[in-house]
Amino acid sequence: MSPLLEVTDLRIAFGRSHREVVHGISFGLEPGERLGLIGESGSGKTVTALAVMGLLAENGYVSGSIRLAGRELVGLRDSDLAPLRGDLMSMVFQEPMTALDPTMPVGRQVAEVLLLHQHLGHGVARGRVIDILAEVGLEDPERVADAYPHALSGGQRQRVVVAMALINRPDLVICDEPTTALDVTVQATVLKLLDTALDAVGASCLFISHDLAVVSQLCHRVLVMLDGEIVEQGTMSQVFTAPTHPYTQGLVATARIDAVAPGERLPTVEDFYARQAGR
Amino acid sequence: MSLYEVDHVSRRYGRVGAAGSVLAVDDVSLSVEPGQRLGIVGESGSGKSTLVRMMTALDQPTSGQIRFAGEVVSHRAERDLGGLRSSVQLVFQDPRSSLNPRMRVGAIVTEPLRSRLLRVSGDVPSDHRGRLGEVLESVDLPLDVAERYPHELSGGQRQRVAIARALAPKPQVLIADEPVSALDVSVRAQVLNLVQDLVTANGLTLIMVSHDLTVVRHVCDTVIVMRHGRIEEQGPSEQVYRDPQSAYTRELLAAIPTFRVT
Repeated sequence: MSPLLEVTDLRIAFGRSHREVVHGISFGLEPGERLGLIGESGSGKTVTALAVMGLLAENGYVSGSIRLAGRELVGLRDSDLAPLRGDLMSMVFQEPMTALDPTMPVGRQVAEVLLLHQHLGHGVARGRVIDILAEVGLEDPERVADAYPHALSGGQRQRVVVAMALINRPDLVICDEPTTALDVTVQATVLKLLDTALDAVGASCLFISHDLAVVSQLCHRVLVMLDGEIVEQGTMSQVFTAPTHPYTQGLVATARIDAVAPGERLPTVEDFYARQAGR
Repeated sequence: MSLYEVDHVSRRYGRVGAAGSVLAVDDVSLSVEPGQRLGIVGESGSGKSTLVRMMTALDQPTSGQIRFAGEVVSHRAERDLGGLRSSVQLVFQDPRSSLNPRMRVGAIVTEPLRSRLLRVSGDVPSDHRGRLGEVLESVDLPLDVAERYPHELSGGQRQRVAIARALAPKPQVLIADEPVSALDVSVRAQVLNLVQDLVTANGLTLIMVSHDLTVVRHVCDTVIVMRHGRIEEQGPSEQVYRDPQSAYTRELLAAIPTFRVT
């Protein structure tokens, strides 16, 4: 089976000086697979996702190859890429309050994604929107559709964002820290929702997070990114039980606060992986 | 004598019966002893931050009273709060918004020392440069960050700056409101270790607000679980963690992501 997404020697640089932040990474994603991409702030995980979506800022330069369902995306004009975005691939962002337009009822925002890609009457579109809002577990979807973002709770807003990402039944959904801004209890429900909703539409998922425990809730396989390079990849259980790179060993150790006796010093990444000063 | 006494405190936003009126804190009583490490756990909207804001006299209770070191601190004029302001210091969740982006780190850390309110209250260090060096060293930051701006630092370094600023006036009580929630998991352990070391080294009383019971259990000796403005459960943190009595506490614990290998 050919991979849905195939990234080869991807390099991303910024600015006039072409400062490179992602240094030739390669990975693939099979249809229906969920792949975790883990790393700390500044490791290059979000710009990698934005490169796949074709959403990098004007001063971002991409080289290498990104193939989605056999189509080369690098070098594609935005007018050729736009029809794919939201249809073939979509994205769930970290902070639902900034991902949603505060001046528009959320139902219209979900419908917008649908109407951009399909010619439907507004009545039909509204019906589809209500359906998807119900599917992502929102009670009283009619009322939610007419509500503005500020009137919804954080968990409800993130469900709306998930609904927007899934309404066109995309092949690939990129989730960029979708639960980082949420409470633990809301995080648990949103992760459960993503788990069932991704299966329901049969979408592959690239799941970005700094939290190995969160990634393990959804993904079978994980990539560990550090300073613009992939330093380790494998199945969740391989990486968790037998991490090979010292940075990954540190990540695994720090993720287990509950395994340390209260009051004792917590292991840090630096215990395993010494990096240059100033970080 | 208890250091903090919170006595039947409620806080309502909006008039009773008015649309959108919220009882954010509902008849909460608690006491904090010197040297205690108290964790306050709950979800967004549970009232935990409102409670802490009232304990620091940044907000006033609708009813009830709060005493710090025997003195009533609720509904007092700012000029009478010098003792509270110099003895109780805060560290907030997101250092990107709690540090002034237009000030250099050195000025940020020594700002509490320049406050007139704190100076008149007495034992605030007067050697600003000396104190700056001391607190930066105690949070493991090199002295040259004093010349930098917050945006030049990493998230973990910024939170260290916020902690250094809190320590500068030699407080008795450190209140940390979700100090690691905005940080990467990899940086979280560093900051938690640092908070623990500093609390021990300086004999501080710690009040830590968090939505994560594992973090609170690690750092605090007692915990209060809040829900809808009320105290749902309280006790020694190890006991609450191991054997939660309320269904809500169990729900909070179950929601914390743990490794799941399929």
